Amino acid sequence: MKQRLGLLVLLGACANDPVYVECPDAATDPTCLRVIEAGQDDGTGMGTVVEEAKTRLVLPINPEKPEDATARAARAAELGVDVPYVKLGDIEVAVEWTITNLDAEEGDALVELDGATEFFGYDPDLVVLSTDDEAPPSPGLDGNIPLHIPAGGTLSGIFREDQVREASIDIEQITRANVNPFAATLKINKNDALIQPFLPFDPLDPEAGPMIDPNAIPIPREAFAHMIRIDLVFSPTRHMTLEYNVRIRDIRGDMMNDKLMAADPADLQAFAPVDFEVTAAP
Amino acid sequence: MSAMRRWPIVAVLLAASPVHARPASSGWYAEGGFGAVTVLPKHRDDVAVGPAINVRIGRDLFSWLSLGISLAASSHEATVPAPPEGEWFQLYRGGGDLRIGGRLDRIALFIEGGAGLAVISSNILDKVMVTEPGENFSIGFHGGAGFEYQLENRHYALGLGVDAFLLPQFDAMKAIDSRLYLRYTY
Repeated sequence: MKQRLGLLVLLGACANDPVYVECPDAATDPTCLRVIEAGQDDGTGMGTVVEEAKTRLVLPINPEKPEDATARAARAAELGVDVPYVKLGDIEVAVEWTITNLDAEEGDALVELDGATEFFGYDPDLVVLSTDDEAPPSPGLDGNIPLHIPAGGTLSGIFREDQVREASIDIEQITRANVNPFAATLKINKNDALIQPFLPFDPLDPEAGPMIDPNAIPIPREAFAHMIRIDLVFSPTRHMTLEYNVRIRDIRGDMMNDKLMAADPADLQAFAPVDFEVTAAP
Repeated sequence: MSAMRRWPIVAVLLAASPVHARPASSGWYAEGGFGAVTVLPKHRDDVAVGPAINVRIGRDLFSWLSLGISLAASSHEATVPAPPEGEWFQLYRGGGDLRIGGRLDRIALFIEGGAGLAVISSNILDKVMVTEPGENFSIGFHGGAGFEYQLENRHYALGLGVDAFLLPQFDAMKAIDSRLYLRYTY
């Protein structure tokens, strides 16, 4: 009995070992870039620079087994809400990045974390809550803290597992429950047991306060989706590059493909999250 | 013969004297030790020195020959170009080996060699092409030498061993495993 327990502990520990993924040199997805660059001259001859660069990486997840899909559909029918394949707690994700200042002068940079669950993608540029010029733009899910990089220097950082977990819940709140992005990102939700849906944003009455949707079923924590796509937005004041990789711990044990980003796309789960959009009326 | 000339002769005679011969058990043995694994070039820049533990069980077939199996684990910081940064991985090794040695009173000297399997805990070295996607296992070959100091109790000895090992499937990574160990012979 003790020997079996020891073997199980060992196997469990191995399943929890992290894997590191980064965009391959010749990615099939042109938006999956291992290194992004911004702040350099944009080549128009007008003295303007490339203000920001974006990249996105879809996690290499195994296809769902038919029996798991059947069980998930049955559970969704019981709960009355969609239950995702990749749930919160199935994987733990961290994003490590390194900025290199290629300029001869010091500069600042912003790194913003966005992303998508299997249901919806969140891009702050597509969520316009007000056409007022003085209104703040919709926030990113995390990051956007000014970082100072010396001339020719480098700076490394990380979006930790708890930050990515929080970002996943924020996407759920914003996209499945119509929570205001500012409310979602400014409040710590990582311990929430459920998400209460609100009525959708009314572009004709943008000043109206949030109202609970009386017909919506609260989304329980077991139906929270985890991010399956990592989006980064890089905005430096000087010519800089950002290189990143994604660290994943497969808690469930059968989610990550052994070949990771080298896997054949046919061997991976295909996700098609819908871009969440809100457009305020002029 | 002068007194000065007699001293070396006396010293040798005393050293060989059966009164100071330290008895040592022979047969089944177990060793447990700790030490460090240092990766050699060309991968030295990508893998930092890491602490290691190892256990070995074997049997003395003759006074000069023993067979054994060993398990070892070491933990290393991956010093690959950032990112990632500050991440660690583990190397697990197991295998069988042959040890040939001899005893000089309290000191036993040996050379050993063997083969087995190695497992790496993560793919962090994919970045520097030490491992390839989906590759976690490698055959391992090792060889080395060491010595043991027999304690007064005939069952126990303290040992110091240094082995070099080669992992062909991990881009032929080579490393030195040095260890201090306690041996118990039944």
